[in-house]
Amino acid sequence: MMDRKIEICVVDDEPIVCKRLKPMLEKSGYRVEVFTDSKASLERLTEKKFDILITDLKMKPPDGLDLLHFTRKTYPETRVIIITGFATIETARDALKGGAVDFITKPFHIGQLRDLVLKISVEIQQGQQEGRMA
Amino acid sequence: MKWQSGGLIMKWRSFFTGGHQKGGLDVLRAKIQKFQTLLHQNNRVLELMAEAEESLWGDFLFDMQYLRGLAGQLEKSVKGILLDLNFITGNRYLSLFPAFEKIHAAVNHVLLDERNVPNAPLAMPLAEVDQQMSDVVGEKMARLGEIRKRLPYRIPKGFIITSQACQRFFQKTNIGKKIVEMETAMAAQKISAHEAESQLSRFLLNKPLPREIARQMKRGIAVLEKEAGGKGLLAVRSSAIGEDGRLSFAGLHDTLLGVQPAEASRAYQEVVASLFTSRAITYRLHHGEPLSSALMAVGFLRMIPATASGVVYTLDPNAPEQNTMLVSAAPGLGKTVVEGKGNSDRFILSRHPPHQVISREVAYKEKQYEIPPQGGMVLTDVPSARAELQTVSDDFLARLAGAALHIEKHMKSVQDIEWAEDDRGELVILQARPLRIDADFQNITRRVHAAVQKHATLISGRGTISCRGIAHGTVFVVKDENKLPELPANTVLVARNSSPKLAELVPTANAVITDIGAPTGHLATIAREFRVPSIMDVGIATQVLRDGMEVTVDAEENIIYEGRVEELLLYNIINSLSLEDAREFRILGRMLKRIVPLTLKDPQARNFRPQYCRSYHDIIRFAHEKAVEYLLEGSDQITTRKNTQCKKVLLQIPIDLTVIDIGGGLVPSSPHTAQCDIAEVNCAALRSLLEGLTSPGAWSTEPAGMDGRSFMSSVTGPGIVMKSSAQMPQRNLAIISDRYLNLNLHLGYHFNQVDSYVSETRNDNYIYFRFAGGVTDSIRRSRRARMISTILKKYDFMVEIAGDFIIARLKKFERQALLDRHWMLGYLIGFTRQMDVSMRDDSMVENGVDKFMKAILDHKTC
Repeated sequence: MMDRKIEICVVDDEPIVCKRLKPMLEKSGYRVEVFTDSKASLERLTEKKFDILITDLKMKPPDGLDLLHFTRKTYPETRVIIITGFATIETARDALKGGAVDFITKPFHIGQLRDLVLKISVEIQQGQQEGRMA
Repeated sequence: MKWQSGGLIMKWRSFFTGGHQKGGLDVLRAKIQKFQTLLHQNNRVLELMAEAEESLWGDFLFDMQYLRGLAGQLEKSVKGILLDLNFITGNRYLSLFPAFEKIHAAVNHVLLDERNVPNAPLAMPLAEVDQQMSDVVGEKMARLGEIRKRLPYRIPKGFIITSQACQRFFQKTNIGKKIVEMETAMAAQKISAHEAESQLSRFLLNKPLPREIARQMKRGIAVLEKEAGGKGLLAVRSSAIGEDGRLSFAGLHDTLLGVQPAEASRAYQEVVASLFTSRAITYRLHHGEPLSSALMAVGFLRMIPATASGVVYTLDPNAPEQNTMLVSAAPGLGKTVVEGKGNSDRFILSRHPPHQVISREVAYKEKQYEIPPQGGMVLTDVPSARAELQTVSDDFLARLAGAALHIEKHMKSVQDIEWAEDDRGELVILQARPLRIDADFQNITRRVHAAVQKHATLISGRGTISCRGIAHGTVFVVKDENKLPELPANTVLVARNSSPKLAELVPTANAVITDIGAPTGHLATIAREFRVPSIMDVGIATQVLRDGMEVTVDAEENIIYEGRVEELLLYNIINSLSLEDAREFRILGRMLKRIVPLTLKDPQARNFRPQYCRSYHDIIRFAHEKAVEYLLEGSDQITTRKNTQCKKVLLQIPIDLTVIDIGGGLVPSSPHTAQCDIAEVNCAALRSLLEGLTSPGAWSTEPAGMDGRSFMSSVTGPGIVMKSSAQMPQRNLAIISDRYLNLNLHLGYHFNQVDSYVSETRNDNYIYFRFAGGVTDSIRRSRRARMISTILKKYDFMVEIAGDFIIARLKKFERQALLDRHWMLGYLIGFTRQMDVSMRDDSMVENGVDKFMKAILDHKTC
């Protein structure tokens, strides 16, 4: 029985980020929706549950931490990855404390993010299988 | 820094005690410390540069913030270098600061992404245009010019009124003020974008065109009429600059067809006014882009008396997965097709030669636009016999398809092409632009996954991607780089080494794979310049890939498949639009132009001066060179007495060599003597080089048989070759640390300099080798230079020759690979010491290379 496709939401106010990540992730077989407008992304997040949320930290409100908190509250199973150019120890701590599974600073090798997403999606799919067998 | 204060204290002390003997050494020590800081900063800048370059073609995700950070870090480090240099040289190079400020301002200007209108003429003939000139002539005209220049297809004759002219027009009309008015009113919600559009276009149309622009326009038209042998109608086409070119602002008036020469000025203004359509205005507002930076160039093209015309999409946007092309055609001028007046034929063709027609809809075409013999443009009835026939033959369709796909391949994106068939049945390309395909990527990637399963994976995950992309072709394995044939079309070039001769073949290859090579090497750089997908350092390519094999090279995932993976190629062409077009990439590209290019290459040249510095790289190059000079000068004052830092190295060959240890260059256990042997040299680079230099066979102890002629010239010639400048140290001297080497070696009448950094971090490593001078006449010297250059390139150096002067560079290699190359350099220095004397003719160049390679091989096997 085929597993449902992993669905990813990417939010970053810099268009180039979405432009690069969308094809890369789709090529790896995921369904991807991207947003450069964090408000719009929040609306979408209220209507749909994603498996993975990849979000930038520093954006016009709602910012990455807002999205993180919303997601953790509303969909506890959704994994959140923070990607950001503004990396300080405090923000990293806040993000990880807030429940993000990982924190990547820009610039980074795209393969790095791909490997992380792969790792997470394997976990998710294993969880799916276990759920079914239970 | 602990050291720093220590050094200063020592200097201070020596100042007061007046200990002259000791003072010399103290001053040297202080300088050495500053030199180390300078070196460190130098490496940092080189590192930042390399990282930035890699961001352009590599796997990095970066954003505007990275670019700002990059500019800031570079500024800080380069400034630090200037301060260190002036400390070392006693403020001798303060003139570098204004040079630095200029470059720094330029880089920041690029970051602001303000419209950069280069100083250009007001008008330009289309024949002189290519893709690089889009800042001047706009995207559309740049593409058209490119097609004419690099591809064998006809385009209309024409000229362009440039962005410079547009800027002049805007300045003279003071439209800036009007724009601000409009923007304020829109922000206060007093007017709509539509209202702004109509006000701005009315504003522009009511202003007179500046005289100088009108004059250029008249002149351009006159030239066209002369070339064509008579008057004729014009197509006036907008050619937007930069970002606008990528946004489809297809305004109502962005192309005007059938324009009478007398109406050219009016047409120009109308077309320029299309910059301010309500859609454009809204877009800019939404993206926070100032309306005041809008600019365009305008092309004036001679209209073709077309018997038929239409549009071709190199991929059907309605069904991209079908891998087909879409063609529309109608009699007469393309106006009918473009305006949607009158019917047109529709064809779906295969993208594979011979481009079979898969489906055809032949419409009944009532009307057409024509250019009658007396001029003008008229809408006429299509003769009924023709109206019901297919507009163009299948043969013409096949030719059109081939041309369109050729253009697609060159432009690397799906194309939307306007074409015409002229009165002699020839194909003319009227316009070509990228076509954005809204594909169902999930569907396509699913197909790609399925497709690659059906093809054997020949090589996967080996080597490094030097230029991203996906390509297909037939393998050609290079056996003898001295006998390279012309490559047939659609070849995947496979070679053992990255030889310089291969560089000539790269532009015509579909992809390049090598066993050995670096992504920073010469061949890789050429591949990136021509955007040829390539993978280097694969190791087993020549074993696995055989002549004649059909392969698909995925230089994104780093996999080479057997056969033609159609879905992957399709995915690639749909997806290609376009990363390189993204604003950040353009900005980075422009920033790097003020950071990386090296103008100051030859320290002996007249332009090796602060005022000629054009990039950060020039500045640090200059600073590094001068710092070394001063350090070496300082060393003249001290002798190799009992100190641990300065020693003479005892060698088996009859040369003197003094080393100055600036930290870890000699083994700690080295006794306090004035001399040492090679074993005490901790600097692995120097040790390797000396081992190569003193290796049996490298240093030929018999003087080479000088024939009478060359000997005479060496004795009586006007001055021994070397411009002995006061600046060049005459001693054999090396500055060493555990990782750094700066060696100046005089052998016979020539000069060798090696500057290198060898550490465990591949990315920090480099070798720089400079060579000048020699005995005998200039032709023989030049032969020797060529021989040396050939050898160096075999070892992946990037080499530049100017007459007899050679500069070679190598970056980012693993430690051991670099040490091996130092050994090779040592051997080479010794080997060629007298070579030029025997360079009696050109064949000796090849002989020399072979002899050297053989000797190296022999040495390795024993």
